[in-house]
Amino acid sequence: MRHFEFSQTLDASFLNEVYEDDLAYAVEIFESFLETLPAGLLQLEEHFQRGDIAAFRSVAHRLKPSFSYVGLTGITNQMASLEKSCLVIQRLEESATLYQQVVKDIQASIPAIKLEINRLKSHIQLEAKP
Amino acid sequence: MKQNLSCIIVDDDPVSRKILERLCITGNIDILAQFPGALEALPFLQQQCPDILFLDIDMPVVSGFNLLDKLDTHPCVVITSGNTEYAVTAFDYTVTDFLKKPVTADRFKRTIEKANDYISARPEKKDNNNLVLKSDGKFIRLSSSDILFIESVGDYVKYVTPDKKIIVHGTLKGVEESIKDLNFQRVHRSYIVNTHFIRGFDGNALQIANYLIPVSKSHKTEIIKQIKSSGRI
Repeated sequence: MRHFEFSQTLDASFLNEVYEDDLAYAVEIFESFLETLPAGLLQLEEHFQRGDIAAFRSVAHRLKPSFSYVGLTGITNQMASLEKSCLVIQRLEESATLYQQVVKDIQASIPAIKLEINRLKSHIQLEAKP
Repeated sequence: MKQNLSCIIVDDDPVSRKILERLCITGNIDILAQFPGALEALPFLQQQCPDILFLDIDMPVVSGFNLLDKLDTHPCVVITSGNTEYAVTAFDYTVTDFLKKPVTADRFKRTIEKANDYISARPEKKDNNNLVLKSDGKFIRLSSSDILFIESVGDYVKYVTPDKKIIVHGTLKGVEESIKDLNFQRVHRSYIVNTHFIRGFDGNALQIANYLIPVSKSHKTEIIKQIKSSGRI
């Protein structure tokens, strides 16, 4: 199979390390990410609205590594900052700017993830042809 | 033939579980079960003992460390966490490795090498009065106080309790070694009995629950002495 070049809008180097040319596996994880992300973001928002710092931090922590698995290592770092901020703030509003920025960046990245799934699938299909 | 290692995965993040699942499949590690939380994993770990426990720390309600606190004994533990601040505490729990999330294939391979080293150097799987037996590819935790007797059947040994029979590959000689400090006594070349359950002796056979266990001539004197000293009959 020809080597697949991950998109440079994502962390291609990390994705190569994780998937080692197993593209079907990459598709599986990317799709699983898109499937589970809305529920995670909803939980995050609910805890934010309730002002529950511990629960908010716990969800941020849980979601954090999954962004790297789809090449969004920058968002993993932002989530880490968000998680860390929860240890020093008294009220969640203090992290509102950072939180809103992270959510905005996540939403902006979703089309790139969908595009990458399509690219991966096309590559797999093309390579499967005799 | 070398048997695959077995594991369970405990992580509240479904994507992280999927990543580990795939890495385990690629590394020929049998996944016995996956759990989204420590509370769900606890009953399983009280019954069975996989070779490796992949354990996240930050989970709702009960953390990974809390889970380890609740176990009398634990398998080879690999912590999987995105938070390296837990590493120091993790090694206080004598875990085998700390796998920082996100996990890469290369790093996972090194973890499995460490786990293999740990498992091959590990002594007999016995903790206090529990035996950990491998039967049909699964690890089963069995309290020694539940065992009525152990019977040799060819290349296998059969552990008989009031409600189950567990057959594992091995010899009675090997079993004797693993239970030497417990209330068991060899009474025949094919039998070891739990002396606590002896209910009668007719000179040739012991009554244990509804079973009659033959006693060989060479063990008769010892068993009579044992019965007299216990004062049970």
